[in-house]
Amino acid sequence: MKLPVLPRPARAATKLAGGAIAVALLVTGCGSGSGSSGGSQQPAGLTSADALKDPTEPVTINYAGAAYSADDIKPVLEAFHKEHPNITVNYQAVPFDQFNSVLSTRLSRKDTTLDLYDVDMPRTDAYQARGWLTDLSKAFPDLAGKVDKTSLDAATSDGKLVAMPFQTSSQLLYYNKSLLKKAGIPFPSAKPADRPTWEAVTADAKKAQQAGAKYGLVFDQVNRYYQLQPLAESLGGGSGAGGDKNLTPELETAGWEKSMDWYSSLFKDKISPRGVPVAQTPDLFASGQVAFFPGGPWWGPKFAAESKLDFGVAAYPSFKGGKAVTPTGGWSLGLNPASKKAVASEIFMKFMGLDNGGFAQYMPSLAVPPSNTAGTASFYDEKIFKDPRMAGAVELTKYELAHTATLRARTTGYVEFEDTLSKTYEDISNGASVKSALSSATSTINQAWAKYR
Amino acid sequence: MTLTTHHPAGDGAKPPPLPRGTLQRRRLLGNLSAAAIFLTPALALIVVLRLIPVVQAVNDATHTSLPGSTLPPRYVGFDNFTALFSSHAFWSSVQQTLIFNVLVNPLQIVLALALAVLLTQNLPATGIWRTLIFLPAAVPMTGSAVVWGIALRPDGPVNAALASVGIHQQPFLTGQGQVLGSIILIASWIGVGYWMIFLIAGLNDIPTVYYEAAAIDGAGPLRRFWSVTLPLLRRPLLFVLVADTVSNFVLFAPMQILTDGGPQGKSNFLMYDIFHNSFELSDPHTAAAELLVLLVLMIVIVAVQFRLLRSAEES
Repeated sequence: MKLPVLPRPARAATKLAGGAIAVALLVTGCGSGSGSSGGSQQPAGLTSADALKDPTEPVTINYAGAAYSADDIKPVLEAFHKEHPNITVNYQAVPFDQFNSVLSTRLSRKDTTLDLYDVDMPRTDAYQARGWLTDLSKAFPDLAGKVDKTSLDAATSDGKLVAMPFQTSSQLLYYNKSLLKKAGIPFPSAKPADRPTWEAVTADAKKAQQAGAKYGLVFDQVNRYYQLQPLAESLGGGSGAGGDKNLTPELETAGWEKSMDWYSSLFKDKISPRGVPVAQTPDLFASGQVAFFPGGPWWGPKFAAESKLDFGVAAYPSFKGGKAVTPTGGWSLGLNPASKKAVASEIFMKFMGLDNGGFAQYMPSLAVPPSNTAGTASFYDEKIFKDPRMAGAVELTKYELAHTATLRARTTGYVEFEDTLSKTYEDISNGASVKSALSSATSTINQAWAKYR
Repeated sequence: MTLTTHHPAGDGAKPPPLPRGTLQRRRLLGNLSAAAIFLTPALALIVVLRLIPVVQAVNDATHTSLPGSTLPPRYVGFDNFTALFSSHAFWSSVQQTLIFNVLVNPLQIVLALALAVLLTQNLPATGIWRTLIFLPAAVPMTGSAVVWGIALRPDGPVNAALASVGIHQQPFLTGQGQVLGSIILIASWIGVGYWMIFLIAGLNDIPTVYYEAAAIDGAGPLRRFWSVTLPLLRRPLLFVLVADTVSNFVLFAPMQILTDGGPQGKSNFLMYDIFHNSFELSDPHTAAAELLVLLVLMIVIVAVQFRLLRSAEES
């Protein structure tokens, strides 16, 4: 799940610092391989949630996270430390783009200095196949009803609970009211029933550009499967993976081709700019250069902080005559099987995912729904949703999570799949022929998946 | 070190003179042990930092496991190499790496040499020029890559400047025909000033008497450059050529930050692909096999460069 989590402007300094930390993690993660034989999936001392007791001696657990920046998660950790004075959580923030490399280095070497880490939901099966996750079925036997169903599904692999889901997500279509007004375009309604179509949004985007908008329509995550999967799904193209254990790429379908033709045309017709990396797209909307911006609700606080920016939100569009499909999924907490501090880690997992509605209550500007059902209620009371520019976001998010949210393809080969698709989306936006890009993606994925079949 | 000589017991008699051979052998031994002591740190570092990793790479390349798996890897002999050699993506990566290096290395050397010669000509404010040209090498590569990435965006400042003189928008990093050129530009912007400094040092080492003699013989500036400067600059030039080649073969940051090896694999150079396989796809075995291929490529090319410049020296 690709949630960039810098509600404040992402400064280069933060990025570089993050990079430095990641490198440091990489370095420390090296050379601690214990070299023992294949993993039993159980760290010593795993206890059922009801029987958990706080340690009597001080314990420090290491938690590598990519969902939140160190600043954002601080209040959660402070609350936890107050409640469990003998456990210290050492949070190591890793930039999302480097997260997979860092985890791969540390977990495949059975690094005992890593206890907990964020699990990007669609990668659950891949991590389980690699032996990176701990079976938590006995530790947390009754999650059903306490966390939302999609999150619970995403944290389950081979019928076992292997992670503690804590956050899910949805998407909105932001639009710049000033630019639409200038072009004489009526504002789209925020009701789920009035979902706009991509065709209509494209036409309006062009109109807005003729009236002076620099860009008509810019996707938040221009090259990421999370946000672009619904395009193909809306036209019945499927998730892109099928067959036995979802290990057969299915990208050369009419739905994929048609939706990617449309995606390619956005860039060819200069409605979207080429060559803008994901990290820079929200700034384009925040600075008032973009008419339509499909993006995460987590950008709400950033956009609302721009006093000059007048915007509104509508439902994430679908194609004309196609299905309404929206991105979803988020983060779980995984327990490293090599961890030597299972009990303290479990206590923190329980705190994040279950205790009194979970972590969300401590985060004053959380703009992404938690997985915990009790926590969700208080989440919708967040200050950001009181901003008139975010009017309708709450109903939309509730509706999407209940009706249109579609998980990403579930496969042990997800890492290679997502990686290849990122490059494919990028090639298509840069003008590669759609048919040849999808067929070369198919052969790349087939080659990578041979080892899993 | 003390050399104690053992005296055979003799009452008041002079010790017999030692045979000369033993003395020489002792001296030799002393020299050898001194040399060993002085060389040990360097040799230990070479073993730890160079040889052991190569052995590890060979070991990794001949094993396989599921990506990222915590299970011990299986021995598979040369399977990783056969898989690589039958992969179209790998050959395209080798091809792009070679094209890039064939273009970028001569270009950087020629530019660095031209600048070095220019800046040893007693121009006004030479120090300032040298500093300005060297500056990009002092900026971290990541920073340079990010800044160039923004500058070269299709809607970025470089295109704005081109538009003002009537050239329409160029794709740069987003066009498969221009990505290689764009990366050569970024790499050279960083590299040229750095290598220029070495060549300036080399130029300053050439005694002026040769130039005076050549001038008396009536040689013009071009002739002086060909017959005096180049032959006497051969050593620093060889070093710069080899070091530059190696550093461009292992260039990685601009692709990681700006292109992810795209568009359509046109900037997917071997070093980036090795990182990508090892860390992003958690497949160290394929990466190690690729690494050995890269190593062989580099050794062959550097050997050719040595041969060329040495034979020029002998002739």
